[in-house]
Amino acid sequence: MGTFERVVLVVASVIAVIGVIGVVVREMTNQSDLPAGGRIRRIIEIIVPAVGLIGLIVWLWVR
Amino acid sequence: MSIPKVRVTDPHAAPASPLATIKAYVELTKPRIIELLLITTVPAMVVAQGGWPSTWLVLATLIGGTLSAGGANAINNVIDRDIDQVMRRTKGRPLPSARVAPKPALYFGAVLGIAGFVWLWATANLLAAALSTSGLLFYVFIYTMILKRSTVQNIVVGGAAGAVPALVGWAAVTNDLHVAAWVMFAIIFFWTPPHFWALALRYEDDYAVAGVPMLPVVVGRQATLEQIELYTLVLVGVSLLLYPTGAVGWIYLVAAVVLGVWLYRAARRLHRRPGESMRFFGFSNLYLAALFVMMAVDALVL
Repeated sequence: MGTFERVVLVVASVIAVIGVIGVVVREMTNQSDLPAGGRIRRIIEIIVPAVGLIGLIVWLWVR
Repeated sequence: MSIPKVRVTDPHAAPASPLATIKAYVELTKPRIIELLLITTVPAMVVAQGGWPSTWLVLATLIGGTLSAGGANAINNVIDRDIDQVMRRTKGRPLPSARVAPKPALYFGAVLGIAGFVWLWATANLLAAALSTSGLLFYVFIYTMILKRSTVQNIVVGGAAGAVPALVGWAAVTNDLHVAAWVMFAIIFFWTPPHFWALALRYEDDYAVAGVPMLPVVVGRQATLEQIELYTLVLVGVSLLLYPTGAVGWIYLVAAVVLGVWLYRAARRLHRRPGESMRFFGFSNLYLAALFVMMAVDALVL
């Protein structure tokens, strides 16, 4: 991977990760109406796609 | 999970004409949704090939994809017939309007699904067939039967089913899955939530009456608009990730930046004018189609 590709990868990753952090923070602060246990389930539901995305970024970086 | 039994057939109704029956069965497959699924399949095949693949393989993959997606949609119609009946947007569908009975619709969906698997295996390869069928099974058993009625994240996790056709297209050409195929999968995956939340904003009352926990029903309009904006930002970032895979060149990169800025601005505008949610819904359709077309253009030109 060339330098320009790495620059694009970093920029894309930063944008995506900022978005993911925003999603998690919003989800955690907007769900006061959830029943007991709902918050933990919500974290799992968000973490799965987030981990998938970060895994993809790492795979791109090291391959 | 038990689904309430709903009477959808009228024993005194006059028999429908053969043409009306065929039309009802075609409607069961939700052709408009299939259209969007196929828009992502062909560019994935073109990028995988690095040019135009065999036209026969493209046609065969589109036929297989249509059979699988049509089967998934028909089975979804059967499972969701109780909630479709109480929602304005869906009560005209073949099952709630009693144009097709549930049992034949279920058999129809199952036959389409099996035919899709066999066809793709025979004409493309086992990986493409297995991926396509896994998309059907995920859509029916995970999304429709579990997630849709139980969690506000239904459309987020369920988006994986709609993202499978890109993998199918890539696998049909190479019998393998390159990292670029997974980036395409991620693009559709992160595109799905803001797209369907825009629709949910428009039909919020319908979903509330049907008891479907779509985001606007559970957390309100303001929080939904914030989530749409954030998911759009994630989507723009993910769309750029395709460039460093080496599968596409500068034509795609420029298109992804321009289209991304355009969609993000549309999401910001929606935040200020929530009444225009269907406008954003249309924009996001156009965004995905244009992004995938530009992938194909890039692979064909460069």
